[in-house]
Amino acid sequence: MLHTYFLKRLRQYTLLLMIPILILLAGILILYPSSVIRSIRQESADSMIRIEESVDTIISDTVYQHDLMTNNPQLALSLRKLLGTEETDYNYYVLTNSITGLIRSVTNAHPYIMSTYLQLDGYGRFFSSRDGVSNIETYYDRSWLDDAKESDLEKLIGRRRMIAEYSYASPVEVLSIYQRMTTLKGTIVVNLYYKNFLDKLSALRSQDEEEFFVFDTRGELLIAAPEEPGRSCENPRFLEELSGAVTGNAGPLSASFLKLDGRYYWVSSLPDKTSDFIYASVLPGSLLLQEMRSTLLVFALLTLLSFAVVYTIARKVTKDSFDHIEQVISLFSDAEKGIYPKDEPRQASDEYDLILMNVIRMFLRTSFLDQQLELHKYQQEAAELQALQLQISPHFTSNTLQTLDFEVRRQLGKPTIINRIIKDLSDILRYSLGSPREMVMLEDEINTLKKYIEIQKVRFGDRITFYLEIDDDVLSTPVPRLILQPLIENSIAHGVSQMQAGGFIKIRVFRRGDVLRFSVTDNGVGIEPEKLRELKENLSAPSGRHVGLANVNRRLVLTYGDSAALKIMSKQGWGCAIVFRIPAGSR
Amino acid sequence: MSDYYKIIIADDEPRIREGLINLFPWSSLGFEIAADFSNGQEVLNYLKDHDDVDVILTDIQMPVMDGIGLSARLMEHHTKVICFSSFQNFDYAQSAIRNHVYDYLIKPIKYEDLVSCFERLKKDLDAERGNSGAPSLSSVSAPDSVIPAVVSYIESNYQDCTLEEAASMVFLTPSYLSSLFHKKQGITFSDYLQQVRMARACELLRDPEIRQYQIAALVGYDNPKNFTRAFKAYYQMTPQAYRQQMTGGKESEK
Repeated sequence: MLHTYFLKRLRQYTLLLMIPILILLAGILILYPSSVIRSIRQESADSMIRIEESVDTIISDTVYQHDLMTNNPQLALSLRKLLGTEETDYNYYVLTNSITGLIRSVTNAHPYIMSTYLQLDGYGRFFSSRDGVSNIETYYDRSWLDDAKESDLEKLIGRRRMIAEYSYASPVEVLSIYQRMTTLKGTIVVNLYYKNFLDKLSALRSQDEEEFFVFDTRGELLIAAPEEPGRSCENPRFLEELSGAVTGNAGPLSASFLKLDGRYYWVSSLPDKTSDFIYASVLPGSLLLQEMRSTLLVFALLTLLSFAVVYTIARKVTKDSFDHIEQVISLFSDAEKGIYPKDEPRQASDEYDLILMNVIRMFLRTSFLDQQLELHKYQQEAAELQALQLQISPHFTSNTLQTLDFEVRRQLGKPTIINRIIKDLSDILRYSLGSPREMVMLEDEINTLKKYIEIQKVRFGDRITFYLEIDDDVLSTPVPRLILQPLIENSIAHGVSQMQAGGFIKIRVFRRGDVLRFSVTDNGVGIEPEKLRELKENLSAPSGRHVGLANVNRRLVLTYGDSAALKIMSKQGWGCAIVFRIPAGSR
Repeated sequence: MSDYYKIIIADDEPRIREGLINLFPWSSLGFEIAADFSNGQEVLNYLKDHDDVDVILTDIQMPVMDGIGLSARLMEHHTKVICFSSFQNFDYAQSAIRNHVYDYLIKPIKYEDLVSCFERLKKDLDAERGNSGAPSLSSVSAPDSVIPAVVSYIESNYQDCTLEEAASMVFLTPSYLSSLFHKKQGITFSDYLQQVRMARACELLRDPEIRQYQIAALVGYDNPKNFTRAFKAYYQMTPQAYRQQMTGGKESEK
């Protein structure tokens, strides 16, 4: 019972609490990813712009200065002259020095620039910022020549290649940027240290999980930053798919979720305005989940905690209310038995409790008053009875009986039935004079009853047979005084006394569980239905007749509660039975 | 007659005094009545001149000086005091106990109560005075008519007779009657009573018209179960079985 109500309440409370929590969760699930995506989109867009700006700076610093330089007709002429002649005169020397100085001033200003080449179409020599005027045929770095042919005025192109300065030196990886000159037919090549460039790009990332890629318009990968083991740059399939996705992008910044090599990534791409570079920023999709994981964890903990709180509250509330109910029940049953709480009941905890408490208080007061009234009436009657008893003093009664006893024995010379009647009568009188409210042992009650029966036997002789069936184990039960004698009297008066023979009265007392049952049955003439109803009514509201039975009934009810009330059954011509039961071994 | 302990009786009602003196087997108990008075003061006056009184049996409610007043004055005296009064009166009983009375009897005095009280007193006095033996049993011889009278009493009152009643009838103490009966009849009083009852029960069982519970009541059992138990213990068969055997199996009951 307690368990069921606890579960019910737990379910109810959980629902109440879970509804806001679930709404919150739904809100988080809907709003949070989009806000995360927005912030990722922003971050990656910022990264794109940073890269573009940074690369533009580098490239414009180098290429455009050279371009400007070569736009100077005088310088262009000098360069053509420088590359065309084999002679070395003073003028040539001065020219060489001034051009070299000019170019180097730019190159040296930027540590990531390895060298700059100036090449004019149709000339067998070119200018290198590292080695001055050099012969193309014999120069150690020749792989740029093919790329240079592809360069045009519109856009810079970038190529990754290796330069080995000496046959014994390990080659250096460079990113070469090619630009057609505007005034002369020729190409400017700027060789950037790939490594430095890579580091610079890597440093521009907004977070460690982010990866930068630079492709050219052909879809070739130029740069993958950072270039570390375990990064996506080692996955050819990923790179192929990424390059396919980004080279198609001709417009401005684009960003979307892409599935690359079976996994989702947030990819932003941006084609460079001035070169054939396409920048791409890639963030793994798991980052999104990772960001959400901590939030979800906190959320789960919160839910668990609230459930624990709900559980405790539901348990406590259920237990409290059951305690309360138990208390109320015990109050009622105590009141039925005539026990009333002495102290004021505890304070009400809520408005319903207050109402309930008032109802209980009212009930108790009414019940208490009823009982008091009943008790008062009974005490008054008992007092009246006592007063009647005292009118004939015990002293007089006992002396008279004593005298009678002696006199009969003296006159008849031996004890007779009269002496026995006197003895029994005086025992009954003595017993009945005991305090009416004091409990006696059932054994004493039965012994007195036997004496009463003895006297009745003398009166009725063989017309009435009595028999008693009293279990031995109930003899020590305390009972109110003289509860059986009026029942026998009733059986004799209204039942068997009118019979000429064969009347019997059976008295039974036996235990059934924790209840002691009493019955007085006779086979007399029985009671007419009309009289029986009158008798029953008379039990609860005595009015002159049948005072004996009503008195017994009231004393039983006052002592044990309504459950101990007398029950009278009778059928005309069959007899009558009066039964009642009291708690075994109580009070 | 110095063998007997001396009793003084005090009660303001002459009839009761007379009954007490005449209706109890004083000599068989080992006592004799020395005097009787109607109030406590007279008893005290008598005691001034007589030092040989052993017991005072006194009513409580008496004029001039009541039993409580008397017992209060005799607290230091060697005489034992036994009080009797009407029904229970706790105050009287309490005062009596404070005054060290020997016993407290309730009026109307029952034969067996008084007899057992004096039997006990006799023993105590014997022990106190160093008297050995019980003179009463050997010195008092009951008349020969006692036992036949008791037997006929049992046979006609088997339904509700008691040893005490029989003893009071023949004016002897119950214990004395009991041993006398055993000596003369070779069977105890209660065994003989049981024998009479069972024989009567058998007779009644042979009449199929009488129901068993009626038989139980007729031979002195108010609980038929107790009768069945007693019958079986006596004859090793139940009353039903006996009846069937006697009526040839033609059980008419129920």
